[in-house]
Amino acid sequence: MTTLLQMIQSLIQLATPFNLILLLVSTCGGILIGALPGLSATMGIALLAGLTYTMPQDMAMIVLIGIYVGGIYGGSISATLIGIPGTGSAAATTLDGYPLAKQGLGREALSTVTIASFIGTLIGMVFLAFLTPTLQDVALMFASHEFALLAIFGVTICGTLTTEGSPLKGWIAGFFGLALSCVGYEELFSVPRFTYNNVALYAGIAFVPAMIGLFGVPNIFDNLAKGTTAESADVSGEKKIKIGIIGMVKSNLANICRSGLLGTAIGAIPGVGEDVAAWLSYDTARRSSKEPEKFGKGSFEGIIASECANNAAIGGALIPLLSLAIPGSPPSAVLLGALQLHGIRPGPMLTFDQPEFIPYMAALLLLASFLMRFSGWGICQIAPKLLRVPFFILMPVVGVLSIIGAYALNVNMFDLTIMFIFGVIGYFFTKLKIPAAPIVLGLILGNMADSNFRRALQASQGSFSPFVTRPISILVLFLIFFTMFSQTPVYKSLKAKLKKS
Amino acid sequence: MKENLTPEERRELQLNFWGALAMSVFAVAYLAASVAIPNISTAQWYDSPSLFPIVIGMMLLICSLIYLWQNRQGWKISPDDIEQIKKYFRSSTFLRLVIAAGTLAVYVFVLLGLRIGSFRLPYEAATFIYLFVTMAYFRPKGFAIWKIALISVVLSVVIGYGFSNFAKIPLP
Repeated sequence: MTTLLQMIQSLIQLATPFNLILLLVSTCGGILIGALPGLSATMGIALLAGLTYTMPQDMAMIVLIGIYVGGIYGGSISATLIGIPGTGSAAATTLDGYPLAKQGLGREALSTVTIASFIGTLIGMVFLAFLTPTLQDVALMFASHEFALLAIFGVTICGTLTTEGSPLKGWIAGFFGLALSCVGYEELFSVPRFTYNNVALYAGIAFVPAMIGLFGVPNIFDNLAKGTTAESADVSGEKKIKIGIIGMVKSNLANICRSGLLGTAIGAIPGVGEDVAAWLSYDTARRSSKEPEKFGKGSFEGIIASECANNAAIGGALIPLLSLAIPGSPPSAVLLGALQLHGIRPGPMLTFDQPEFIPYMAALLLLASFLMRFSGWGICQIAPKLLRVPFFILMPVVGVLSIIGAYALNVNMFDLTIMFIFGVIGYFFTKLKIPAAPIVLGLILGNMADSNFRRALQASQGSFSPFVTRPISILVLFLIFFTMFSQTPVYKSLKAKLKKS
Repeated sequence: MKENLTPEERRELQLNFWGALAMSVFAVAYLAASVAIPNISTAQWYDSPSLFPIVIGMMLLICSLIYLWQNRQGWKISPDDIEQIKKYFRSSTFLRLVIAAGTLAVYVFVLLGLRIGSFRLPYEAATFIYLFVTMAYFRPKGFAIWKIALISVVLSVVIGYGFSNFAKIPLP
């Protein structure tokens, strides 16, 4: 009850015209940043953390949360319209959003994405406001063993979901990504691996330029070579489906609730983030769907699952951030630095020192989600027109923007080399039908898997028994095993026999 | 090779085989490089920096070899296949692909940050050259070149000014 009253108080405090306009501008800025491939929410918060230094604390929080919420949603716009996820968390949305846009349902796909993102943010907000103590206890049960296994699980499930035909291709891509993540100085002893005395490789392979290379560059090459704009979406209105929020919630209630819960839970696990939340939710939705064959070819259920989860993960990620000072995701890691810059000390003492801060952040999330929904409605009307731009104009511009995105995060020309090399690799992989998403996820999660794997072994002095005795480890191991085993002919024939009997 | 495969299925089988072979070779090279990673003299085996790369390299090799085995019938390349490959390399699609990749490569590796003595090519100029050349080459017949020039100028100025001055995003 106290939390609710504090939230209402915060809402009243925030509902001034100046604050609302500032939040709207920040959210729109976040959407734009997220929509441009390579300019992620993480980068947006990082850039603005310094710029907001001279602002009063309240204003700075409004700007940063607006960028965060807008950035996560914005990634789905480019994922849907041009098949390039603007952020890593939108990679799952690409699988169904882009095919829908190619089928002439670009506006409808964006509307669905907007509503799902809005509802997901609200679900995460509710958990942040009212269930932080409970979820923080669960998050504390995760140790190195679980983090290492969770990273492997994220990669295997992504590999399974993104492949046409044999899932081996997806797993090969995932392990390829994990292998490349080992380039550079390793975390525990700072030993250089696979650097060959090349200074540029000491920091490893940055995942943003690699992601842009893998998703964006093959798209550019392919469309220019074939001379078409990715089968331009028909936005003339012939295939119009009205997507209303009430109708969508009614017909997808189970999917939305499940995705929101999963997204929040995964977001609350320190360090895991929106990417894994989106993939896990997508997989769960596919397995529960009455039309699983549509996934990957243009399924509204698929984009609802991934977008609801990755936006719910925002609220989830703020839970360990504010209560334990442990970021739940990369954008929240940067937000931690920004909060400290403004004199806020996240951690167990926050609820004593500033008890109104968590309800205040929840109120900000609530307002940002409504403004995102409002801005998103406007974007849904305009953005699909982008697909009418002729390919010979659109593709070079996408190339220029991709280069800016690849360069801007680290201000390093070597990242452009990475982008180009991964672009060539990505092009060949496209021809071999090897998916790009598991490679990106492997690059993102590789260091987490490596350092936690070795820390776990250090803690048990080389024994693997905690991996098979800790309850959560057993659960994650089972999920990895099941994900791989369910793709084998043995499992499929067992399932068929069970169905017959 | 199975007799009743369609040409597309045959091509896919061959691509899968050669792709799996390439990944297997990569995995072997990766494992060899992993073993060569310097160890820490006081460390236990589980502290070793090469532990995780070796595990991942093994998983990659196992998956690649299984996939290679599943597509083993794709190793055969007939004279027809060689003719098809030659035909592809002589096609206009391949030429367009080379131009698309080439223009992007020139933009990234030559134009951006190009210095001639003390003169440095501005970002807007490099971007204009890339946009103009690429759009001009790929434009359909009948699309006026002056329109391409105008679009390229406007886009390069807007992108350059917008990102660097307005959004404060560093440009290459």
